[in-house]
Amino acid sequence: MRRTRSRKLAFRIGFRHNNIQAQGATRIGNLLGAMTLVRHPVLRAVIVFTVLMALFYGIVHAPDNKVLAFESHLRLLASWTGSVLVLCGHDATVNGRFVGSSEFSFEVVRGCDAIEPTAVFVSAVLASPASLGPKVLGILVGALSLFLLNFVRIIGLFFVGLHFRNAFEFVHEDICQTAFLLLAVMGWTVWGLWARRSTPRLRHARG
Amino acid sequence: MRAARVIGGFFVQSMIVYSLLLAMWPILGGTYANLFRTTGNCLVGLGSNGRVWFSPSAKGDENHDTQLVLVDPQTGAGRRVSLSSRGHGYLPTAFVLALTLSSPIRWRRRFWATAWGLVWIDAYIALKLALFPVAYGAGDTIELFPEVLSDALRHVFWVIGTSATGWMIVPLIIWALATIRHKDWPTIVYGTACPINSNA
Repeated sequence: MRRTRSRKLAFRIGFRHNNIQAQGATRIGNLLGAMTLVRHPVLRAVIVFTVLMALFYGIVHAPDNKVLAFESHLRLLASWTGSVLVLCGHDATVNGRFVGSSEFSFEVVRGCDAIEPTAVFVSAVLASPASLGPKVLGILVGALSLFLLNFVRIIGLFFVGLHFRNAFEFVHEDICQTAFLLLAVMGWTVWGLWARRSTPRLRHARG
Repeated sequence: MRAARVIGGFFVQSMIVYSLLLAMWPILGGTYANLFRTTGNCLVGLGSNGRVWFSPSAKGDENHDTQLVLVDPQTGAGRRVSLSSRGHGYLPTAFVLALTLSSPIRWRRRFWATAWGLVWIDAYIALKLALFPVAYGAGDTIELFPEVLSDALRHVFWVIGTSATGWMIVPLIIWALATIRHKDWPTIVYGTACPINSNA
């Protein structure tokens, strides 16, 4: 029944476009199939992305979980930052999430961990219409890149605080957070370009 | 390689435009904060019979330039919540403007994307202003819902309205809606125009 209706619709499309009609029903069927594929993956991707992000916010940002989640991650970032600052010749000491020196001190808190941009990236990759291999590779490389970039950002912020104290809040709150989220989206776009070339299903849909 | 260069260029350009717009805050801030409060009062203040209103904050710094005053109708006790017109309104607007103005599309399309982006981001800010009293509790307003539902509503509002990520993700969605046309999606998903369009 559905197939008959699809064929009717296909012929209607074919009637409107004479050049398509001339190429026969098979061609029209292919076009209709492609059209169906085009519409549904986008909608599906949007729904999956929204659900994953809702899950993330529901679990990670639940009121009872605000303090405890990712505590060890924050301590690790603080510890590594302290080590790098010592290597750079600063008298940095680390106490839990606090990184202190005689010149400038700060605390690595939730929001400094780049967890949200990573969640956006991972959700976007999982929601995208690609096969499992590129998705797994994309998530691993993307999440690791964002973690390392965030680590560089925290060290950079120490130096901003050290030399341009007045600009610290502006760079930290306004620029870095936005830049990081945008980086996650750009990362997803770059991954999408790469995955499109290596996903057989999408190559098939193109033809 | 060309696509990566376009994406990189878009990122750098949008961050420059965004930084420039933020640097204009000291000039535009006063006017924007007034507009923010006036809009809030028009949306919720007038209909609340004097129980909810937005007013300038006594502190006067950019993170607390506005206060939401909530009065309990039964006890008459007032509660004040500090808000930032910069954080809740100006930053998301600047982000949408930066994204749409830097998008690698033709100028005519960029203009319309910016116009639509501004319309939608203002609608989002208006929605937030209208929901502030619900989120922070205005006398019997919040008691309309059971406690669990109220907590859930506050949490949802926190995510989409007041969390830093919330105000960054919403502008991103608005930018995508304003900039990417329906017929562009096949190109994004499959890397080619829709076969029907290309053959017709």
